[in-house]
Amino acid sequence: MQEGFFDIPELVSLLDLYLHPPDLLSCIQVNRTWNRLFTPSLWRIIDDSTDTWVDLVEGNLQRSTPISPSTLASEKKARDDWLFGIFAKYGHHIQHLKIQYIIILQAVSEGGTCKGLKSLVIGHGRRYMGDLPEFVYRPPPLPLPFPVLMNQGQVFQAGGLFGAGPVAGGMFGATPAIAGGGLGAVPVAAVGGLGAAPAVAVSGFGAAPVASCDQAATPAPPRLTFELSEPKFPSHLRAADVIPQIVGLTYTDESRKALAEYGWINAQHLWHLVRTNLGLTRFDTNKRGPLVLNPVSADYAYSTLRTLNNLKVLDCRKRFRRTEFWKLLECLPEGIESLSVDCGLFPLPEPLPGPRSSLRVLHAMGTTTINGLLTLLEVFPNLTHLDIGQVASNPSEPRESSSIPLRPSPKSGGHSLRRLDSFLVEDWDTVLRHIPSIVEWSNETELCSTDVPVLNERFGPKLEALRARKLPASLDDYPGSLSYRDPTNQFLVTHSHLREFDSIENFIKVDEMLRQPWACMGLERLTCRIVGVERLNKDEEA
Amino acid sequence: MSAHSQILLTSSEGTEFLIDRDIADKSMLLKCMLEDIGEIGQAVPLPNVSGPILTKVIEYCTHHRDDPNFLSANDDVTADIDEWDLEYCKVDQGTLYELILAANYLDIKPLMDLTCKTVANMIKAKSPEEIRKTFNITNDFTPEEEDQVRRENGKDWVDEH
Repeated sequence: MQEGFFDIPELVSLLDLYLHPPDLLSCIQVNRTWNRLFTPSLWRIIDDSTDTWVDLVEGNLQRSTPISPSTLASEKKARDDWLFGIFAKYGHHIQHLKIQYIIILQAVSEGGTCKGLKSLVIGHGRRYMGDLPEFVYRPPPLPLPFPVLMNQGQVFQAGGLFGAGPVAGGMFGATPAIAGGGLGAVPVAAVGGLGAAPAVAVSGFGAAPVASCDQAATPAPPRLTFELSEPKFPSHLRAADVIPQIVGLTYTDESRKALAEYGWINAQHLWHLVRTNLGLTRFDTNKRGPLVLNPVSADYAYSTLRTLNNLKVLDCRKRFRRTEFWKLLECLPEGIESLSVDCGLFPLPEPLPGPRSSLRVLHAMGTTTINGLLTLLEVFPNLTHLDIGQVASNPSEPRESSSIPLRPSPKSGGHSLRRLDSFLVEDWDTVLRHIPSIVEWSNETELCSTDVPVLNERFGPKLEALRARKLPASLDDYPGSLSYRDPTNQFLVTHSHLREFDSIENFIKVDEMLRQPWACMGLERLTCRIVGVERLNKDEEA
Repeated sequence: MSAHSQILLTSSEGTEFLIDRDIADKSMLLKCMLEDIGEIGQAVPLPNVSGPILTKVIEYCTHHRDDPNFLSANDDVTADIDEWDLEYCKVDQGTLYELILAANYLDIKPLMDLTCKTVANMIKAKSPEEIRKTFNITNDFTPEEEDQVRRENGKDWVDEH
């Protein structure tokens, strides 16, 4: 009878719900039958951030004893050969792929067999940048004028890891960054100038010095030109489709070339994989930086998205350049449920497009008014979570500016919007009057001391989720005070509808927590730091 | 139709089992069949299920007859198996496999999940050799095949240093 069970692959495949990759690895080594039965299970879901994969990918490269560069190189090659081999052989089983190592992306794409993907998530782990080429630092020429140093600081902050014009200020020359800084940032200017026309990037892209500022008295650095390698998958991606990134002049030309090539190679693998997996329902690139995976042009983005007819979840932040939201939306299938982009929603198109009732989650950019927000919700009537830039009050006088739409009388209320994340909402009271369904509050920054009374007044006990770094006047501020009733407990006691409290930097006194008559008995998720364990009595400890 | 009506089932050997309708309804196969054709007053033949196994299946459905979460009971793959279910599954491997096949045939998802979970627990955290012992399986790999499997598992590149 044993054969009866193990002869039915559908039944065996039920087992893999309960087995982790290490168990499945053991299963495929049992005998021929088990190897055949469990191999699809082992490969169906690949998540390279699991311990098993981290060990396999990093194994020998993370040893405590130092090894010579040549040994390291040969071990890396052995690893890469192995990865490329197994992904070519088993790629056809993969349905769900979560990648943190770029080498895995390369191996899956290069293998050419992975064509049944349902979901593709890139860059979700901490090791995303791990395979970057080495950067060799080159000190900037001295003496630098003082303002340049200041400006470099600004540019670093504005955009990039490597303080580069292109990263910070856009691909089409660093002029905006310079203008913003308002000083003679010659090195930055020179760094920034990619050849302005995308066509230039086809065969190589040069940084013609941009001397747009009066202060640009320092001699411009030499022009940097280099060739990208030939396209690996010319039918899927050409160099003209990619917007290369170049790091700053503080790195050697070789470093910069290596990075540009690296970003180009990876972009080819990414889009090759996407274009050979048109059944994708989820495509999420986790808004990771553009250095490792160069962004692509708007036209390329539109044409690719048009082919993904089953897409339900798309996060393409930092993957596309100069896309327009409403054009991009047109390219997406009717069933799209979650969309995260970094293009602006406003101004809204005239006439408004027909309602897209499938969309539940939307992250985009743009500043609007309350009326603009309400109008947007007409287009997306079933939105539950909206993340936009800023919601200003309705101006008393109609404004001329087209950037802030003011439609005279949008339909009000009745929305399913539960969560509105915004950099600034000027008039919450009016927003909540129009959209009473909002019951979640989220703030990336620390709440200020006036926020809690405001939150209480605004939402009352109906608040269902609070996500913030820290409540005000937490135990941090009163380290020695045992009598102080910590705000977390106070909050939990007064908010009976709370399902989620996510505030990792906030403290909660665990002894008080246990002794409080919490109102929020439906709390499903509590994230904060606990203190006061030593003050628990024995019963409570148990 | 009375809630307390009874259904007659016949196992593969021809043994007849009279069970309450609500017990029979735990099996999606029987439920749909009874809804489609009504109670025909004749025994329903189950040629794929032996008497002892049908007894076990009825025992399971009877124990869970009033369970409001019956259909979602084992959905959580990480949840522990409850005590009664754990005892219920303490049977020899042959019986366990037959139970899985019967649960599959009769379409009783919670029993399917429970029995599969039990088999999976017999595999978990074991080496290939331990799995072979547990299930009395012969290793039929040739040395070359075994070497290939080992290499594909990254053993060359991780272990040998």
